[in-house]
Amino acid sequence: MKRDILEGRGWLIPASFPVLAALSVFVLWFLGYPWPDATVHAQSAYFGPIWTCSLDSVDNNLTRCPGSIAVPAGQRIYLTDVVAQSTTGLSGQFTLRTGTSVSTGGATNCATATASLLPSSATAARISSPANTLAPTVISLRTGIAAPSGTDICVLGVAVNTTTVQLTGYVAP
Amino acid sequence: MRRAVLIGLALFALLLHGHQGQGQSWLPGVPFTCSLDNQANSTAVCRYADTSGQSLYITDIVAQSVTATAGAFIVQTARSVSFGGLDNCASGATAIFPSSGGTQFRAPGNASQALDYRPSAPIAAGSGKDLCVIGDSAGNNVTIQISGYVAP
Repeated sequence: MKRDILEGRGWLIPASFPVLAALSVFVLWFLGYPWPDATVHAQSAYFGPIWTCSLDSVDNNLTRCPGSIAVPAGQRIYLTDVVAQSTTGLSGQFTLRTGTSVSTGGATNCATATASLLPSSATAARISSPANTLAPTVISLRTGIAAPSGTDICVLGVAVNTTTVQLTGYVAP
Repeated sequence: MRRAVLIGLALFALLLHGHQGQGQSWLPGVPFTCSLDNQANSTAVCRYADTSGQSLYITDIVAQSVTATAGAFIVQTARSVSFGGLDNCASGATAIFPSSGGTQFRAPGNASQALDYRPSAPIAAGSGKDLCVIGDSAGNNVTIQISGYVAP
C-alpha cells in the first residue's frame, strides 16, 4: 500500500482508490444517507414499542382489551391515550382497570389481581363516553400511567349505552 | 493491512446499522399518578409530598363529575404531614388550579367529554407540599386523576 506521510505530522494517508471508496461509503452510511431501500426511523417520543388496543360495545362486564403486541416478561404497559364514545345517541361511562386474565379453564378479563388504572381510585364506570352525536372523549396524557407488570388492561362500561374505546401507549420496564 | 482496515470499517458500520434510535425521555423526574373518586366538598389528599422534600409537578389532570351535572373542584397544596403540616391540607392550603383561590373549575357532567388538561408548563406543588382536591358542594362530586413527576 502506498503511503503518503505529511511531513512533520506522520499521518498515514492511504492513497489507494478502493480504500477511499470504502471510507466514503462508510461516512455516507454513518451520516444517514437515504439509500433507496433504507428504512427511515423517526425519533420516537415514546419510551418503548407502541402498544394499542380497541374494544367495541363494552357493557358492564369487565372486558380485556387485546393489545397489538405481546408484552415481554418483566415489562409493562404504559397508557398514554384514550378515545371513547358511546355506541348510542346517549352517553355511557367507562373505567379502565388492570388484572390478570386466564383464558383457558379459569377466569378471564382481568378477573384476578384486579386494580383500577384510570381513574385509579374508582371501581365504578366514571369517565364519560359521549353520545355518538357528540365528539368523543379524548385523553392524551403527557405522563403515561403504568399498569402493574404482567397485567392486562380491561374496560368496564355500563349496561346500556355501551362504549367503543381505543387505547394507546407503550411498553417499557 | 488494507484488508484489516476494510474489515474493521465494515464491522463498525454493521454495528451502527443495527443500532436503533432511542426515544428521548422528556420527563425530568420520577413519574407519579394519583386519583380521588366521588370527591365531595371536603379536602382530601391525592398525593403526599415526596419525603425528600422535592416538589410534585402536574402534567395531566383528567376530571369528571359523577352525575350528569358539572361538578366544581379545586386542586390545592399544603405543607405535608411529613414536614410538620396537617393531613388533608387542613391548614395553610394554597389553590394551584385554579390558583385564583375563590373560583372553582368545573368537571363536566358524565354525559360530556371528560376534562383533560395538559399544561405546557407543569404546575408545581412546591417543595414538601401535598396535592389535595376539594370537590363540589352541591352533590355533583368529582372523580379526578392527576399525573406528573417528582423533581427538585
